[in-house]
Amino acid sequence: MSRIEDQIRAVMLEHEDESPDGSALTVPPITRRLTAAPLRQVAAWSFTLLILGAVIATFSLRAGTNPHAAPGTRSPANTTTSLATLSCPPAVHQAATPWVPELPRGLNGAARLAPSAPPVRALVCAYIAPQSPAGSSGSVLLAGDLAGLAQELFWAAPLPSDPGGCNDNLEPTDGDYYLLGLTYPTGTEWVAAPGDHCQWGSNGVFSSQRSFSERVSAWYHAGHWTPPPTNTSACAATGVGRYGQQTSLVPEGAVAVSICERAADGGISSQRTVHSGFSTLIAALDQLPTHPTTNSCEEQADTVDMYNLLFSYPTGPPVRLSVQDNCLPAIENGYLQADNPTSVLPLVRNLLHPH
Amino acid sequence: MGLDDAVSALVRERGKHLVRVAFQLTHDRSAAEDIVQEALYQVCRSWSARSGQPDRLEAYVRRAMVNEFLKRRSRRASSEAPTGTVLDRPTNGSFENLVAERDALWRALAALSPRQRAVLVLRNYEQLEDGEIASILRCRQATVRSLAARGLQALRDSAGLAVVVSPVVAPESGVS
Repeated sequence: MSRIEDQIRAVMLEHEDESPDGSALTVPPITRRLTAAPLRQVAAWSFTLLILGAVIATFSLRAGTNPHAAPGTRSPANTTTSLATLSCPPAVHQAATPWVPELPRGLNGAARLAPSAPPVRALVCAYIAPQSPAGSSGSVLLAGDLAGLAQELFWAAPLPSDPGGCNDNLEPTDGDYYLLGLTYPTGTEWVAAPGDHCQWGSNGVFSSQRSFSERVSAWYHAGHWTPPPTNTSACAATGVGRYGQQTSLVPEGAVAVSICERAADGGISSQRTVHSGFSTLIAALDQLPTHPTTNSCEEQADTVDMYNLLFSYPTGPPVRLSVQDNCLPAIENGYLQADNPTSVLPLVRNLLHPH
Repeated sequence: MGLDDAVSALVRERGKHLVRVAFQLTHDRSAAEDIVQEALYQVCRSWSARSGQPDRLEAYVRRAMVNEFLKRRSRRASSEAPTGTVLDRPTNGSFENLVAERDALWRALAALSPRQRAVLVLRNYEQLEDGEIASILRCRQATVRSLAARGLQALRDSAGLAVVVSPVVAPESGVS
């Protein structure tokens, strides 16, 4: 520590007794998640809690089924469903992990978030908090072709073993909750899509990296499945994740790669998308030993060259990969890291700046 | 230990320290308590969702405190004037001058940008490593180093604070 930093610490210590002693702090209520909100939002969230029953009681079903009159929550064991008519439960159970009314029936729910085959019926149940900008509670049977919906859920990346922290600030849609009731010829499953930005999606067995709440909200309001925003630029890619990333830096089947070079200040230096000639890069990545990500790297020098790569596929979400020089581990895809970029960096640079 | 117990224990055993950290950030008694209280609410709300580990509760609260501090400062920045009026005269090492210099440094700290101040508080008061600070501020370690360097330079540049970088003079030593 430098001399001035010694002085700073000394001054800080001199003034610490001017601070309150913390005796006025109170322990926030924790028993119900909706009540554990910041002070200035307590009124709103308390209101949410108080009228949750009313919301449930007046829950109008756009799909034409009868409104549920009984407020309260149900456990999965108490919920009755049939293959033909999954119906929205009157309330959702806010819990530490995403809640579904019932575990998958007649399906291998542990393998993927949903089967690749389209369901014959998709019911969206929306439980919207009173202060949310997402509209009002209700339900809707999705119309039209459900193949896109099936592919989107089928390729959902699994929840990482260490999902990392989440932004501690409340979001306006955190109190919302969506359930997607899927009916197949051979079975049924529910997919939970909590609006809580700290949670994730789940069918009760398989948990996905993303919650899908924004996507399900879009379907709810449109009345049919809508394709996800096109995401083909590595410079703008966020929130993407594809099944297979947990075992391979770049799962097989990529048909294009977008490369974005970041400047030291985080800006974009250059970018390029190629649709061929990147098989050598994938082969080099496949050769690298990997380990589970630590979600960080240790900078080895002040100058760090950073490349974002986005691998696109014919169906399903793309894969985002970061490659950095002078930062260890140097390569990361959100699930896996590889330490040494020596064999990969020249290939990335050649693709970005072909001679 | 459940979250209720962990939070109760944290408030009971570390509440005073957390408020002190917040006071170093805000230089304001009521704002310090308010920030810690709000951080507790925020963390309690998101805690179960992340299946968080109780042993990391204090770290989560610290991060929420810093976020809240930066958020509030951002909202108020346009209406605030720097409070770091500092000495503009050299010191002679007297006790009175030493006190004045320390006071000037305290006020100069308050005049730093919120992120610079957050870095210096986390570094010098909390004595966290740059990696931990980077995690709290969600930035790279190089950014932490840069913020610290700019903050220290701003303090050095403050008129009258040149003495701060000179050897510390104990008032009773008589050394000048």
